[in-house]
Amino acid sequence: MLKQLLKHSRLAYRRSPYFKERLVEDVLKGILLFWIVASLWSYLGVSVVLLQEQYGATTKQAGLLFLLALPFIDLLIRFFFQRVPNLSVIPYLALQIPRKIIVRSVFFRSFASPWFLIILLGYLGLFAAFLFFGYSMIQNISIVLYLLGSLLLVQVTNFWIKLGDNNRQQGFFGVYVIIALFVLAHRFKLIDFIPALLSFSTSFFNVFLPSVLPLLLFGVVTVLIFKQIPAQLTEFKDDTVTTKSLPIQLFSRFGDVGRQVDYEIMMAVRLKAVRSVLLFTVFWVLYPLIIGMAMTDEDGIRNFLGLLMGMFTSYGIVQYGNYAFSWHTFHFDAIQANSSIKTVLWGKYYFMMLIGFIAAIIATIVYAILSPWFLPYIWIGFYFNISLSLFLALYYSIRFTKPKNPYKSSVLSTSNTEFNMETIILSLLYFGLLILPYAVGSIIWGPEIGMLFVLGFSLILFLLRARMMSYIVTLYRKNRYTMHQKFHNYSE
Amino acid sequence: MIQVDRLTKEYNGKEVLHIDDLHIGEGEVIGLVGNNGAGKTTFFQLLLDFIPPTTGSVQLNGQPVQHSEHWKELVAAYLDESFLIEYLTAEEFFSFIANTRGVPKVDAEQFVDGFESVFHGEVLGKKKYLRAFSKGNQKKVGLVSTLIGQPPIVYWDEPFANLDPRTQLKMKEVVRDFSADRTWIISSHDLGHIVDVCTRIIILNEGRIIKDVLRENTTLEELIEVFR
Repeated sequence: MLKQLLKHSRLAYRRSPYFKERLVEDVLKGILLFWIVASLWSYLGVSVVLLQEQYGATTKQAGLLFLLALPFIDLLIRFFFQRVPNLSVIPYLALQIPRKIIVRSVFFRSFASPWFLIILLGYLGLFAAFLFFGYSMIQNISIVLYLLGSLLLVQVTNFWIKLGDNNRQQGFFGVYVIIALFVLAHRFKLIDFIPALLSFSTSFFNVFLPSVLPLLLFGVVTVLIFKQIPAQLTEFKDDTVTTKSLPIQLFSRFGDVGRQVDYEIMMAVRLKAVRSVLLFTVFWVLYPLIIGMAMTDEDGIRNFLGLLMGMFTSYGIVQYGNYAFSWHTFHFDAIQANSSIKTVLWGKYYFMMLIGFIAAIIATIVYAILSPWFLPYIWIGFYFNISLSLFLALYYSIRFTKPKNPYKSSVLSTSNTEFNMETIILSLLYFGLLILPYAVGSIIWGPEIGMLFVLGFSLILFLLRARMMSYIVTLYRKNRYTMHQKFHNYSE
Repeated sequence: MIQVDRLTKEYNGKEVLHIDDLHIGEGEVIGLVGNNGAGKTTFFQLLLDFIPPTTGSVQLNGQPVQHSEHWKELVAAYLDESFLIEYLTAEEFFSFIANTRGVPKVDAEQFVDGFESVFHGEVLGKKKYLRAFSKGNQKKVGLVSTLIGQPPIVYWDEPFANLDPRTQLKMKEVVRDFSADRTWIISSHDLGHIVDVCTRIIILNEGRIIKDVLRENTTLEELIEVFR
């Protein structure tokens, strides 16, 4: 039956009305995935060397920290590069198919599909390289534990998902396998478990921050994913009908546009997918921090993190930009019939600005601890985003309207928090536009002037925002029939 | 066959269903009627273990549906189009359902061919995915799929809505033909249809059973009086 469900997953993918678009997305994803995996490995390699040289960690300690980052990175990649689309599980729930099989098929499709097997094989390849070209105890430990962790992950998921009859015996069997692997690994001296554990404790306290952060993020990502899996699988759930009726009136005093912002906030509060996107904006803002820890040169860190920050604070905005119109899938007619488009678009603009502001505040709190130098980078990045990125997000959402189901949760969903084509393209576009004035200024006069150039560029655009919005409104009016058609032909 | 004990369901503290005791025996054709929001769909979702009850239990042949999946061997359900697998053709869907119920493909094909008068030549051999079908044809596929493999218990939610009059009559015949050896729970807003096909009628109002009667000649008038 599992085989049949997986076949259905393939059919769902190939027969999706958006198959061609998704194929292009997948190719782009593949390229991006390759780049991210390669860069993460290289950053981790640098981190290990840095820990040894700068913090005086032993090889074993550094290796263990390296190991700590592995599952976090792995989950991060899996989260953003989930295989799409998944099966809608409702038709299968009432059939004579054990729920654990349904769960496994979705799980396999989303997390253990060939995409991720490639990553796993990458790890194994590295493991083989260590074995043949430079045997190292640390790397072996990390790989063995990684594989065990993966197994554990699957088993934990089996336990976690309390759907119907959980075959606990089978779940426990997996634990026996893990224990057996530990014993075998110990027997053949692949790991020297107890000294490794002691070293881990030492290194944990010696290099506290680099140890805690990956652990913390790993924990949060894990909990989120596991919380989302059952929610995704039981679409008939208690909170299907939201009864939260928060009378949000934060901005209504500012007139029609303010009321629209309040409406946007309410939509964000009530739509699961939007909430997930906003939540993951926070992760995304913190992501450069982990990478930046591997860098030693202060100027390098500043330039690198500052620029990435500009890009990543816009990530939330871009993602929301995608959603800005996604809920039109269901409400398009009502909005079209009842609201002034200009007001709606300004409302969306200010709401996205609010998200960017919150992301920048979070980034300020976290990064200012490291160095006050980050402040101008973060806030100039934010200013750049509200001057240009928001308008591009609106432009793209209107120009390339794609219906989405905003009520679906994101983690195992078909088209929500995953990277999609427009996010990749837009992020790269923003980055290119951001880096251009920065590069001109910094090559001639240094990084500070480079940032002033970005500021100046943003200022000019900010003065033109009314004109840009008027263009966006015209575009919306021109495109409204196409949007209407796309939303009405939507079925997923 | 189906035993409901002290079953309640609350959403955010508000009780939407409360059934103290309900027994549905083998071969009964139950008509579930009630206004919108009366709790019919919630009841189906609890019967199918799609949502957990706040208190109480639903048991099929003595086994709570919450703690075991054995009930799936007995039950076939069609509540709405989410029960269809939209990217399959009708034949693929029927074949899949047959497979889950252990029915040989050839037998399933023969069985489904017998419903050609219901399908009116618009379903089989059309090489269309289910999502491309009209609401009415989707419903026909869903309803017929529940009969494959002769499951002893069938749940239908609003089976007559969206169907043309001819198919409505046909589906009523289907219920009569197949109901001899099976338990059926049918919800509908059409009191006439319910009285025509059901042997026992349960009225839900604000989540509670307010009437539970065996069908008699005067039942339709009684029902109309309740809703008047």
